[in-house]
Amino acid sequence: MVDLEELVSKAERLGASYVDARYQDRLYELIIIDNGVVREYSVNRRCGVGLRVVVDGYMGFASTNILSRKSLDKLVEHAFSIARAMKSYGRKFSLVERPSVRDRVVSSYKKDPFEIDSSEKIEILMSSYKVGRSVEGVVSVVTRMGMELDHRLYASSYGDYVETKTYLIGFSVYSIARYNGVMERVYDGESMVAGWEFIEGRDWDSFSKEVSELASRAVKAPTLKPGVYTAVLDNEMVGLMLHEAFGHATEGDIVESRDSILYGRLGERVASPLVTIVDDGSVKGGYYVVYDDEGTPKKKVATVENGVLKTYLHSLSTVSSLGGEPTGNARSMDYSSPILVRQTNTYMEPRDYRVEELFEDIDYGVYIRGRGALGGQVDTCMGTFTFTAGPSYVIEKGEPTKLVRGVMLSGYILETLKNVDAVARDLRVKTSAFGGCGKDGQTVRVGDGGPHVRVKRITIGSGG
Amino acid sequence: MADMYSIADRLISKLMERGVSEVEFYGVLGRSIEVDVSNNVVKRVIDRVAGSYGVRVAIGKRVGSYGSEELSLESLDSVVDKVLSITKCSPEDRYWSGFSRGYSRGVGVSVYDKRLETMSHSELLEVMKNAVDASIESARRRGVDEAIVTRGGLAVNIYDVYIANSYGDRISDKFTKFLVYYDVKTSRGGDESTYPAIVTSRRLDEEAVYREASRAGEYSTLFIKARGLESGLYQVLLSPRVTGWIIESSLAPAFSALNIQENRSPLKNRLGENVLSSDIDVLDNPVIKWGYGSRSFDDEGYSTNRKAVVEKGVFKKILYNHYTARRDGVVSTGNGFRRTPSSATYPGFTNFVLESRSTSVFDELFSSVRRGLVVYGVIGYWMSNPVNGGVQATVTHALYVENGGVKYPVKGVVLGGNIYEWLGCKLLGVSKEVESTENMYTPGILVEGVNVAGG
Repeated sequence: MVDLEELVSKAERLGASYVDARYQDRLYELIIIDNGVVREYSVNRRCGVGLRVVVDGYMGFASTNILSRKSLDKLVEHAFSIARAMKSYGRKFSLVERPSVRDRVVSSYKKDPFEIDSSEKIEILMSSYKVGRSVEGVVSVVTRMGMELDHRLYASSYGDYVETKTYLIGFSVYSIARYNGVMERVYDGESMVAGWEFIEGRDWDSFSKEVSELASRAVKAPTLKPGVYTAVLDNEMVGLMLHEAFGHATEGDIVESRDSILYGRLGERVASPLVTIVDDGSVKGGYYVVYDDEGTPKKKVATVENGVLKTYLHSLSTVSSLGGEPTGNARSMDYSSPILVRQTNTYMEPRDYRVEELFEDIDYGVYIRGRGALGGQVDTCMGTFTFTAGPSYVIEKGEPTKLVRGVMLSGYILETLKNVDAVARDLRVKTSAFGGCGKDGQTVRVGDGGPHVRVKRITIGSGG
Repeated sequence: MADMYSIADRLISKLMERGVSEVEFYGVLGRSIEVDVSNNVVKRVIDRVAGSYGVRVAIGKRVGSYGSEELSLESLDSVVDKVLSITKCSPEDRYWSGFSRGYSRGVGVSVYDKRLETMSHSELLEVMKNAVDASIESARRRGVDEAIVTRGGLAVNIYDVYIANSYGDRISDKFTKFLVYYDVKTSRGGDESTYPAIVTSRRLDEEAVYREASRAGEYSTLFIKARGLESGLYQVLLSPRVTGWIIESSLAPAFSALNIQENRSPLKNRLGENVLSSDIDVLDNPVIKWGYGSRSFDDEGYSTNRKAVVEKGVFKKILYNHYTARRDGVVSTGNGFRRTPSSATYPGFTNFVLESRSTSVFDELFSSVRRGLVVYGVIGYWMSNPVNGGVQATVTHALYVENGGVKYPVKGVVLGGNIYEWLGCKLLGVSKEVESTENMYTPGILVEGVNVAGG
């Protein structure tokens, strides 16, 4: 392991006014059963160090996974060389100061998943594959199990020394059904910041059966007529919508670059008064972020409170340029990636409605379901966002009735959340061990969710 | 740090001594430099040195793999222990017939730009600055109140790939990649619009970079005051870049032998049949000079070669890696690619090329649009469905056109349909102009009867 504090001291001795160093040792195990065959059983280890220096007001960042003394000397040299090159065309770099932090945090787990015998893992995957494949009409099933131990160390000129160890584990099923020459897919997964006990505590055969049965029904379902609908979004879809429709546009580095439609709108009404959006590093069901990758404690922060934009999400650098308070959202995919401002767990605070009440006033609409959804994307500057849903239901006279497939939603950041007219009380947040949020080539673990929500008008397209 | 072949040799030898049947090694060692821009100025430069490798092991028909970034010889004993434990626990793969052997190279092609390896940080900063200036200047010439480059940058990758196996085969090569991606934002009268500059190549062609930078500046002015469109069926003309994005997600995966064998492709049992318009050819072409996907061997050491996958609309060739080829009793087509150094290979395109036997200039196709959308930018296209050809994409940048004349810019509507229809019975025209984004080389296409969900 690298002595980060020594690395920081060395760079300071060479003339850096500020230095921080990040070390990471990440282990990721992935098992894929593809139609009964082990398509992949792999373990990957990433291990290296990233160094950020500020020299004469300019920042240089370099990284290496070659941890010899010679290579670390070269790392310092590279970081300094970049900082000096930045003088010609670059922007000056500054960070706000905060009290130093020294801490060690390990996420809660009972059984280390990397200690579990591989045959036990494969047995669970094979069993759930067989159950999923036995569903009528299903022609292909892929089951996956993924587990991660992300060990990070952080040291800085502020005297910080933070160590975090986070376990994440998940299971997913991808089923394809065929009917009358048409094929349809459904993907679903469940993950948790936990140990092997998460896998032991669920019936994955039933999970696989449910996913395959949904694929089998969806392939026979029609597509929806494209148009504008009143919709009830389930917990998962609300999370996706908030993350895409709003969360990205609140990220301080996007705001700072003026690539966000929320630039200059602090204090403005941007959503219905029923909407309060939170970024929280330690909510049940979500990913676990107690400190960000600048060592800043992660605060629970309401970006939108009762419909009003209250703050952006920040790193120490974006606070310096935009004002505000550090929120603990400086994150990087790994030791070799620069700090970006990222969401942690994004969700809407619940209100009073029972879920059934959201449907009661809808004569004709759509119940948008998250099981089978693939994700979303946003153009933060044009203000357009989109996400796909899983197989969903038409709502007729207050009741979900017919299943429809191939649903894609779109909207405008500054309009869609103003159309929220009812928020239920059933909060649920999810994370994933198989993916995360992508931005500027970096994928980080996030979580999102919320209660069921009704939106008066949303555009729904359909393909397939 | 040990060199990759020393690691490969030691690992292979240690594993064979422990009684495994065969071993495959895949290593990458390289350097990348990124220049990030924010609000017109360079925000940071990132310099990374990284190496990683994967080792795959077979014991009979049991296969396991381990990937690592630790490049010291002292770490190899623990890698051997771990990969053996994984492999022994894996159930037998009934289709397993060994790793590839007898490595070879296809036609040599330019894939390494020496200049990229020798450029200093300052020289790269200058390229970035000139591109930003070109975009802003181009937008300002079109009378906007303000033009800025919001976010993005450029990236350079220089890397060596090493492949080896326990049969004594060795193959390696040196590659470079150059990427520019940033957004230009303009405003006029308080209304804003954007457009991205995108360049992907294996070399730095400064002229091409500044040409694209100027275009992004120009196009960023076209979508000011964009709005929705009433739902309905429209003609849609996709720009070459948008065509590539949509095809990459909805069509290209269907030619993979693995997807066909595992019932995830609508092309199963359709070899020799008409699947697209008879004007359309699809090629896998690894010999495009400086092409992003160009290479003389795949990730299993098979030589690559140019081939027609679809010819005159007829499905002619399935893309195979070694594993899927053996399952079908044929030889790999040299299309095995890895997601990570330790992963199995999956069949895919080197460079995907869509060609038509009947083309028109893009502007002529534009003029022929009676009532429709000309689409220059979409998001969410990657959620299209290769299992059934379903296309879904949300428009960020488009022009609503009637009788060849622009009525107003459009955003926020959802395109829906099926790629086999769009490149089949609904295809009205294909542009002469072809553009590349990463390994997709595609023309613009004009399609009729596209479902548009408006707001």
